[in-house]
Amino acid sequence: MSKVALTVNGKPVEVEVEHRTLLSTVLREALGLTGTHIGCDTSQCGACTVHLDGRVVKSCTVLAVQVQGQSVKTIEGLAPSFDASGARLHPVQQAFSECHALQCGFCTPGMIMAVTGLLQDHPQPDDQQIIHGLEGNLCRCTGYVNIIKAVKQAAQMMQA
Amino acid sequence: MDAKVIKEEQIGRSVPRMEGAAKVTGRAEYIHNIRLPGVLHGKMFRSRIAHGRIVSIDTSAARAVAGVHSVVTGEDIQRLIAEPYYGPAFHDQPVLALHKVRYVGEPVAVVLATDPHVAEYAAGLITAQYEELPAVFNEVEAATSPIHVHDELKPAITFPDLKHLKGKRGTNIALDYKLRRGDVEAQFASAAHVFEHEFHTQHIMHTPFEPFVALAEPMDDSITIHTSTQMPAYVRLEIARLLGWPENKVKVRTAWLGGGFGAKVYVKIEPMVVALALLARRPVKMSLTMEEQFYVIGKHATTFRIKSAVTADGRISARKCEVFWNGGAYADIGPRVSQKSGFTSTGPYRIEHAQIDSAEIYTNLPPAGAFRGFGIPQLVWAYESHTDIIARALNIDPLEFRRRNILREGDEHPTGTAMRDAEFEEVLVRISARMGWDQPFDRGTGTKRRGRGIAIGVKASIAPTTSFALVNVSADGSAVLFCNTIDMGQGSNTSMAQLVAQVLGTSSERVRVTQADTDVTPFDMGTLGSRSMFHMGHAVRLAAEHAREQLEALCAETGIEYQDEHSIAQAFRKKFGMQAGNIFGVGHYTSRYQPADHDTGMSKEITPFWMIGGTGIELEVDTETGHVTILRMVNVVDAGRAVNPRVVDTQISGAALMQMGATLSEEMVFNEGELTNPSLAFYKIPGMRDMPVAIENEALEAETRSGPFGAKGVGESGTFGVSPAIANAIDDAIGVRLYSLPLTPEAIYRGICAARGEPLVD
Amino acid sequence: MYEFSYVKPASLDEAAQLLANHDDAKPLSGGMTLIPTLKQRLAQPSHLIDIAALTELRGIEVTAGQLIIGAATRHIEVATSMTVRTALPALAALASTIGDPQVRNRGTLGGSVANNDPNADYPAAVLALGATVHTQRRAIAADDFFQGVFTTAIEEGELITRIAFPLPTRAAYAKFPHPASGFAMTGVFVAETGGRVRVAVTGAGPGVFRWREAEAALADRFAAESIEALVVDPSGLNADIHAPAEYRANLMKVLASRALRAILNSSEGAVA
Repeated sequence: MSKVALTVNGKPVEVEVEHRTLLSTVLREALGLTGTHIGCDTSQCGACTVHLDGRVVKSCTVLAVQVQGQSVKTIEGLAPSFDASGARLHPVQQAFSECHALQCGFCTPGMIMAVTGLLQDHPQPDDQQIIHGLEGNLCRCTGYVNIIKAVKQAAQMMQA
Repeated sequence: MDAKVIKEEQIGRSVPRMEGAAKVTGRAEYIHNIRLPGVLHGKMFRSRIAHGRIVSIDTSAARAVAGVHSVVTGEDIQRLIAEPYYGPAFHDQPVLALHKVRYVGEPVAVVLATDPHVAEYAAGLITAQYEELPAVFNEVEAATSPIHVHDELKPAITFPDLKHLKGKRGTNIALDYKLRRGDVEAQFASAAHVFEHEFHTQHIMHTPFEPFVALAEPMDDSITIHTSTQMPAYVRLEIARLLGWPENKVKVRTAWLGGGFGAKVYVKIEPMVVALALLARRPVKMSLTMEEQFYVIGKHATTFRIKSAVTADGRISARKCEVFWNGGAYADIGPRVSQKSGFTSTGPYRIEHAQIDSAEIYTNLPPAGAFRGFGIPQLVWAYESHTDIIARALNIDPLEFRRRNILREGDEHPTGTAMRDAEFEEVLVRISARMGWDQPFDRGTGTKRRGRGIAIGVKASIAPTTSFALVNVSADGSAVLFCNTIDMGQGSNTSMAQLVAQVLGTSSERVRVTQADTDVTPFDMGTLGSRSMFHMGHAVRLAAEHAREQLEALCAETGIEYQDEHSIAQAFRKKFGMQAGNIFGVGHYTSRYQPADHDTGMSKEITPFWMIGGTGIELEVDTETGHVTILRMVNVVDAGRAVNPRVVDTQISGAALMQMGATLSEEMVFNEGELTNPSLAFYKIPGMRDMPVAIENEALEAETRSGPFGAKGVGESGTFGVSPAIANAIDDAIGVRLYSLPLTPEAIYRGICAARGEPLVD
Repeated sequence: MYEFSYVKPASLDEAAQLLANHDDAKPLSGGMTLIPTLKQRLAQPSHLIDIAALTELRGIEVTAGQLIIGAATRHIEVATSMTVRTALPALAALASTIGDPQVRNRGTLGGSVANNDPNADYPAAVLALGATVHTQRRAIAADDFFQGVFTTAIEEGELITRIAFPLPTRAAYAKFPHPASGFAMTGVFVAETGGRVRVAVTGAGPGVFRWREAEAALADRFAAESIEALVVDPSGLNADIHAPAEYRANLMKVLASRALRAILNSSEGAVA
């Protein structure tokens, strides 16, 4: 067991973990941040995507001990002041909701984290950049059509 | 509240998904997320052989691992349940393997431990000895093989048309649906043209991203099952039957489902989790991995032999269909697939002489059951490829050939049921109009060749089935709908709320829908086969109407004019002196149905409604690699009246892209019964890179007169035409006809090589 | 996952020492192959030695006609580095096709090369460019480095520190991705360096290999037609559930031709 100190959604936290513990397990079980979902076991689906020091990673493929001293942002940290009125959603969240860019919602948190990562690198992405930027995230429900619409809408909202 | 909003028509309104904010913030509840104190995690030990008698199971090393609570085998389960076999059609599937194993991956033992790592490690230490038996994998071989997966057939009591199979020995055929209409052989003998082909489809898996997960919590005198299921009422019924308990001692609840697509119908891991929890007397959670999902349920592989007689003027006079469904080792709902879909095997065409033999067949592979489309995509793949080949051979435009033969309003389907509210021709018209079918088409040059194709399919609804609903109106005029229709992403909660609001004259946003909990949500057969909007839609409408009658009476009694929520609230206050009270509206609906005659397979009322979907494809083939780029996909469906057009649109895209994966890449590849690619690293589902360059969807402006507010189901219609439309377009592009799915680059390239006389050898 | 001890050394020396002291220790870099392998319990190391942050393994620079990249450099850094994009655009383009954004943000050059997955992209570049693989002990020529499926010249306790790529006059990589994993079902890297043409193929055979017939043909005439005239013998090539050897043999020719066309049309980099 080791103690790992990291920043999660802007707050410093310290957790005691087995060395084999995955970052996704710490987020979901030790910290109760269950918005990070586990879909597959082989790093394909991307449902567990979070930001690690500002870059997108699949938290199921990172050991918790590897992130000592680093900063993690999860879906819960995207709109920390969100309340039931829905007024404080992040633009990407708002666009996903408005564009019906989700169905079962299981891939959605990871997809949204990947989109926010994409928009950091390409604030006004074209179709090819969207596809290249989201190829690590699978969705089994929507057929992706509305996800692309939502990315474009979010990009516009964030530019405005 | 804005009075204008309240008065708005709720049907046909694209109400935003009610759970949108919960899902985009990661707050939506899934069973996946549930943690309970004292819970034990179960990890399975599975069979590594396809067929054999269990000689012994050695669990001693696993039991000795520190932290292991217990190890459970099939014989342990029998201490709790004497006859531990479950299944909706046959009581053939043991909770854990008993005496025999019948496929590679079948659960044989489970390790329980507080720490899932420990359970997983210990499960890896279990060994088993088997007396291996010969196995059979191919559906056509299994139909007549001397190797039998089950010694004796054990149909459940549920379905009358399986009764004749009770106690039958020496067969792998778990259902033999037959249709006999007219005299096909006489037509074949005299027809101007006869065409005969054989088509194949492959095993695939639904891969919901929330893999199967269930948690059973034993209480003092009952059990609570938290499970990701599409059928809570059935889970309750089947668990109660297995335990010999009354239904009211079994509580089944769900949360949002992380996808279902038919994988989570009937019971899957629930009997195992319940048995383990009762044996351990502690809560037990099992969450399967993506890999393990492939061993639970999949989509039938099929062989379809189809033969048609065509007149000199291009009319199909007879069609003979022989469909072999590879059901795997346990029947699950497979026999329903082979019957309820099997009777549509001749396609959406007016055919006077028809013969169908559609058989569900046991093999030593993982079970196959319901999968978005319920068997229809396999059938359409064959009959629409076949139809296209005929049209091309006769030099008739494929669209024209279809229009010449398509079923029209009032025509009799080969089963004898008259077509009602089934807009086949209009679907073809709209696809061709959108594609500019009569316009010149760029066919590409060099190594990039373009082609286009269309296809159309039909599905009947599973019948007869029953739905119940309950609407609870509170004293402020807001309402809660209690229903067991499970929102697994299809948007049913939003649509059902719209129906309630429409009847009550309130706004959809003021209606909430509960998650299923069988202690409070009333019976529903299940969320499958696109049945919910029609069946539950009617039940919800009736429940809301029942509530409205009572609300109107309350208003009349209190002298208030019934207008909207404000008037409802006023009436409550006046009657009870404060904001207090409830009105309950209840409703239920059972679809009309006349069973098919056992000898002829015919019925005047074989389905309460028809679903229709068609697809047009433009694509480009890279002739050097066989790689296909879908340039354009046009999906048109008859979904009756769209209750929520944006939800309908998303359902069409989702269904079509899912079927595109089944067409181009997905395949469970077996080697002597052993699955070689049980993970998303080797089993390819569509990613963003695989999307068509352009995709457009249309739900016809149609009306289902028998449906609630003119609506019918739409969850599957987008799948129907996709596979054959792609194959037809490939043929159009490069003159290569493919008869087996998936249409991988390698398969296409192989076809190209064969066509130029330089076949690729293995 | 089996249990293991994670150690994060402060220096390369310490990392080497740890590896020397523990027989079943494994270096951990990006972890993009190793962690999934551990999750499937296909490996049981006693220790993981995290070398990803070691300063000795980082950095991208051009010196004396060579592009030198530290072993712990992540794919995203190679893909977006102006230094790489200017000096060796084909390599930057190759890096941008590896995996997906999440993989590119974690995976490293050294990790990929040391692992030598038969379908990995980087080995094709290292071999075709005639790069030199440097470890803390020695310099190994690419021709000696790759020794078959998941096998390299790396010895116990030896760590790749950096890879030196001679700058080619022209180069391109063409790849047909494995449909699900994004690895190369087949990938062909063509490079002309100092007047000599080298062609390396990944994904098609048991480990990356030089396609000598293609090299000879291109030495005669540097054109796609030279490739198209070749006959590839599929025996010995890989066959799996996604493609038989004959299909890969065809892909070798198609991709080599495409790489050549990319070079000759001077469109930079990788063609997928």
